[in-house]
Amino acid sequence: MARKPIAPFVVLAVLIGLAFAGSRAQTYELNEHIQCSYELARKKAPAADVLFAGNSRTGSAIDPLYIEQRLAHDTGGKLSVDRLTLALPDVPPMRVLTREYLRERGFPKVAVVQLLVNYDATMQPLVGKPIHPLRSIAFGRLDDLVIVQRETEFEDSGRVIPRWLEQGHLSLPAVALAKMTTNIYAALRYPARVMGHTVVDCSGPMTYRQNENWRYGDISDSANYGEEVGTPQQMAAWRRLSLRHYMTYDPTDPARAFENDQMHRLIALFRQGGSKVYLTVYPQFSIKTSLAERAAIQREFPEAGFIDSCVMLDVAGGPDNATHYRDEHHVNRAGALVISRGMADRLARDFQ
Amino acid sequence: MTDPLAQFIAILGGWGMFRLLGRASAAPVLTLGGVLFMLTYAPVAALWIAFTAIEATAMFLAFRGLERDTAWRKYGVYLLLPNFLFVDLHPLGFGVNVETLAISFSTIRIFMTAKQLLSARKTRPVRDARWIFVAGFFLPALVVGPVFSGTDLQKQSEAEEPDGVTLRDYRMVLQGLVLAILVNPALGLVIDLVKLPKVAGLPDAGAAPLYFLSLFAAFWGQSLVAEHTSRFFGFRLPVNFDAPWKAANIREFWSRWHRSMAEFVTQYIFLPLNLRGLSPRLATVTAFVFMGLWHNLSVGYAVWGISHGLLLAFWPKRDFTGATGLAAGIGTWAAVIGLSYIANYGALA
Repeated sequence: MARKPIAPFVVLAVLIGLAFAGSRAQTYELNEHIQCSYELARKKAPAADVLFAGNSRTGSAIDPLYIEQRLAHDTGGKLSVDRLTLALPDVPPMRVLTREYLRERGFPKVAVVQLLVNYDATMQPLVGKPIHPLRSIAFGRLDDLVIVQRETEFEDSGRVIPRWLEQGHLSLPAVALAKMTTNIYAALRYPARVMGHTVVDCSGPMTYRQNENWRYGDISDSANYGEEVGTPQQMAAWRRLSLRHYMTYDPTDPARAFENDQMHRLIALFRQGGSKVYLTVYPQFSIKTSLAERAAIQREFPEAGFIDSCVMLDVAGGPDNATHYRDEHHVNRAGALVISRGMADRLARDFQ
Repeated sequence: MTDPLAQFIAILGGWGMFRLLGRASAAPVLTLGGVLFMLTYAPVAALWIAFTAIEATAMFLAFRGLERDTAWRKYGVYLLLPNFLFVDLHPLGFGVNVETLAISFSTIRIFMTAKQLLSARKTRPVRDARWIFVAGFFLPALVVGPVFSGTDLQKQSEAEEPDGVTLRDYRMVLQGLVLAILVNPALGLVIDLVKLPKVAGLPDAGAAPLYFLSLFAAFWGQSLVAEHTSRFFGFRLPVNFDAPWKAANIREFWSRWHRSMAEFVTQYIFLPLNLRGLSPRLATVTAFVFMGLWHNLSVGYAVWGISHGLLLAFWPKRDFTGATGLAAGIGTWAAVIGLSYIANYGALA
């Protein structure tokens, strides 16, 4: 056998080169809002004065452009507003994205963080469970991936073996290898290229809007959104879906320990850079959160202020606030106007 | 399942070591590489494979001194085979799910090695037990690939001059990678994108041929990578797939599809049962029920094993031609694809 010691190293070098190209290409096929959220976090611009962080409820309820205009009107100064969202139930990837934003763009003066907890009893066993690896490693740095890996829970049946033995756990070398292979796929842009998919264009307004149902400069104080009211059949369906598996958030419930811990860490990320942090809860169709629940949230998170978005809608709406929803989880433009206006008015006090 | 590309990168690392250290390092590099790879991805599986290899070694040491005709020496190592059930039964012991990668294939390779060591006419020296570990942790075929005996690797390792690497080997590795990491996910996307007719009670049954193609692409691709990257280290593994699409009946299918496993059940399950008086048909069904449960301890795979066994046992021995031959071919493939769907994707899976 002829000795050609160089051959394996040449192939390895090609793969490493592809991995490097992939790490810069950022062309992995991701869903639109995740990709654009990362684009927003890495935008070459200083941090916004106000940053809203949360999931799709934040996306639906908060219009950053409207709030900028309203803040300018209320304070007489120009203040910038960003909205950073991930439509995922788990906080670890949200923390990774937030860290990315803070590292790349600095700290906002005020952060309004959605309380990211689960309200569906059937989904509670999945809270904190492994997320799809490609979702988390497509853009993440290795140290970010380590956070997700270390802080993701795998089993809810009680720990009888070390977590590094559990299904779903990846050792750090495996995470690094997974990152490398993902970058190689990214460089090849496969299967996006073969399947004729186009890479998401996050330039322009899409960076900020991220989802066609989310708000970005398309609500106004003078508009009438009456046509967006759901039909009686839709509302009956929303009510049924909303109430079917609803799980109240009680921060003292041991089942909430993981979520509480993650939220404390998310808040701490902002506080370490001097941001003032508010926690908020967005409303859900047919669900009235009690004063006791709100008080419990404030007791659990004394390090953050609390802005009550639910009350804003309670004041504005009729029975069920029926005119303010587009489905059981998300407000429509009328609801977004109420909440964005309420938020702007409340935050204006911090800048006067 | 690990990403085939990640495993290929690990193999490349081993190949580099082998090139630097020379021919004598092939088996140690691939075994150590396999151990490290398994510890990285599935430490429990690494421990279980090591346990099975130690068990096999203990059996080899205990039985090698017995007469060749004694039942313990001939059949004692069969006690190893239930170890593959760890893949399905481990939650009963651990209470939680753990990664169980590669155990099914490694158990078979460890068994084959121990069985062949004990079957040799001349009692094999104790040091040959190391080939049990080589077979158990053989990096190129660790996760998926052909099953084989460590004694075959030993013979090749001791040959004066192994076969050289040819251009075809590089081409086959590339083909395998394309199948496993490009074609397989593309078929997965096609399944997601294509709107297929719904069949009541059978979710995604319309996609059964695509599922089968996807499975074939992944398995054939990974087998090609295993077979031809082994050649980089001077080892030749059995060919797992021999143009299975040419199969015109179920007998031919099993001589072309996952050939190494089909040969394993023939040699180690069918023949001993048949030689001990079980009818060929019943021995065939038993062998395929074993193969089904080796895949997965599920009702779906039990149905798969019984059905394949019955088809093989009762398939007419004569060849069909013309329209009958065409009908036999179509029937064979309908059965193969349908049973694959039942075992892997249906309600019984």
